[in-house]
Formats: sequence, C-alpha cells, structure tokens
Amino acid sequence: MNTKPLILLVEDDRFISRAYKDGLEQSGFEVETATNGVEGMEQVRQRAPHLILLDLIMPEKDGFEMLAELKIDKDLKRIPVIILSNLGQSTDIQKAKDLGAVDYLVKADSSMQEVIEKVKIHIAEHMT
Amino acid sequence: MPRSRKKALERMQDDFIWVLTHQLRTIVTPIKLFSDMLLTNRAEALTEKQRAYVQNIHTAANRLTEAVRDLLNGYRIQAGEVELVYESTLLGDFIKGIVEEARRGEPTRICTVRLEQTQGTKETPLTVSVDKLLTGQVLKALVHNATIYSPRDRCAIMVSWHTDAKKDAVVVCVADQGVGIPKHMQKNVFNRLFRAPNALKMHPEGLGFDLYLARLIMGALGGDIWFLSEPDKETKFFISLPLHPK
Repeated sequence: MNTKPLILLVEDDRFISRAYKDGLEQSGFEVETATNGVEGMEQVRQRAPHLILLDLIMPEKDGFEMLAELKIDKDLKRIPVIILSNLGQSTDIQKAKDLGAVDYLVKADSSMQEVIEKVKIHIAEHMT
Repeated sequence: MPRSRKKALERMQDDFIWVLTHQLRTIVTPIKLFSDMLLTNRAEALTEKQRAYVQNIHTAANRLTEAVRDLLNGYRIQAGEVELVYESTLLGDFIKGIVEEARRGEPTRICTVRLEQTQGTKETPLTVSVDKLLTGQVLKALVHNATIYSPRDRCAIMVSWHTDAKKDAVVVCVADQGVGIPKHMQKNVFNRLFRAPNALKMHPEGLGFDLYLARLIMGALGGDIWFLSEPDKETKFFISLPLHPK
C-alpha cells in the first residue's frame, strides 16, 4: 500500500483521543478524529476511513446510534468498526456486536499495543 | 418497604454503580495510555529516575483499574447479577496459567512454586467443570497473598489439588511458609477491608478486599473457602469447587 491506512477515531474525551491518535500515528496510521456521532458521520462520508474506532457514551449522538446508522447504509456498512468503550457489561458488548461491530475493547483494560494490534488485524482482514 | 419502591431503589443503585465505573475508567485510561507510551517509546529516552517515576505512575493506574474491576465484580456478585459460565477444564493447566499470571504481578519477588495433583497419577490429570474467570480470580488472589506474605528470602509456595468424594468437590490448596495470620484475628480474615497488623506492615498498599470478594465468589459458585494458619510458620488456604455445579 502506498498511502497510510486512515483510521477514524470517534471519542469525546480529549485526553483519551490524544493518546490513541499519537499511538496510532506512531504505528504508521493516519488518524482523523471526531468528538461525537454527528461529527463522526460527517467525517465518515467525507473521508471514507479504512476502519472506525468508536466510543459509546458521547454527547449529541452516541456510539450505538452511530453504529446503527452506519450499518443501514449500503456503502458505509462495509467499514469495520471496533468499539472502544469503558462500558464493560455483557449486555453492552452483546448489543454492540448485534449492531455489527467487529470487536469490542474496554479501554481501561487494554494497552495501547493491544488496540494497535486489533486495528492491524481488522484492517488486514478487510483488505483481503 | 413496598416492592415497587425497593425495585426503584435497586435500579438507582445499579445506575449509580454503572456511571461511577464508567467515569473512573475514563479518568484512569489516559493516565495508563500516556505512561504506557512514555515507557515503550524508545525515541525519547528517559533518564533512569524519570523512567522509574513513570513506571510508578503506570503501576498505580493499573492498580486503580483493577480495584474498580474488583469492586464492580463484588457488587455484581452481591446483587446476584453474575452469570456463571462453566467450561470443562484440565485443572492442572488452568492452575498453572493462573499461577503464572499471579507471579507476573510481583516480578521482583523470587518464589519457588510447586504444583501437584495429590491423587492418582500424573498420567490421569483431573478435568473439572469450572467458571474460569471467577475461580481464576480467587486463585490468583490466594497465590498473590502467598507471595507477598512470605519473607523475601524464603518464598516457597505449593499448590495442590485432589477430589473429595464426601464433599463431592475438588479441593485446591495454596500453601506458603510465610508470616501467617495471628490466631486471635483469624475470625476476621474474610471481613471486608480487614488487614492483620503483620500483613499491613509487609504490604501497606493492600485494600483488604480480595478475601472478602473471594468468599462472595466461592458462595456464588456453590463452593467454600477456608484456611489453616500457624503464625511465623505457614498458611494454607483451601477452596472447594463442586464437581456437579447446579
């Protein structure tokens, strides 16, 4: 691949967003950010990212709503979405998977390296 | 109290725990991530002292994360909200994995750990149906305690297991040659936030929550937890897991 894979990071906490953005960029990804589901949808349409990292609890439009909206769009539903949330209850995880998320990571329990590995795996799967 | 009111109160308590957990995790996550990046980023070399400080920040953030998870688990177990997931498991392999995990938590402590199935032959390892997550949490706490309450120059832990036909259970024993639990305080060991004075001296940062939680978990699993301890000689913690869980 000539260009760097583009990741859209939808996250309302600016400290967390900055950390993942820097970590992913250092690992060779291009990163676009959005702070809620409304901005997120705009960015998806404009930039067509290779993968979306999506938080769940956000103002305006939350991650569940954004995920549902992506999956009913015939063009956008192909973009893999990894949920990156601090909700860890099995009901939340099940709901996100039912809506079509390819993976679910609890932020507080995942290292930067684990997040980057998951991103690499799902981008590679999606490209083949 | 009317039933509907009790339900409403329970609901509020659930919501409170849900919000509290999410908020605490959100605050601790960037502390973990940024300290993690400082430690793994070789381009920006830290001095030895800076590195040690950042390592402390990272360890403290991890401890906070674990405390939040334990508190949440404890709450769920108490509220009867935990779904038990049983899996047919080779007990020896499972215990070996847990011991390794517990040992990684205290990398500076040198310990010899022996694992032994004290029944039959090694060629017929025991397979039992266990909830790996919850059983693992209890065993990890027991191995961790055995490690930190042993003198640094004499840490020898023995983990053994056998079936008990009378109890219709498998019994796992974690034995150490550590400081032991003072006799007159042994009745308090499973109380929440209890720390024996000798334990407090050796490991001041503990919360006194692990064994309280361990007993809750063993109750939920239909098993039991108990111990024998000789101060300044040894402590043996036992758990029993039903062979035919309901």
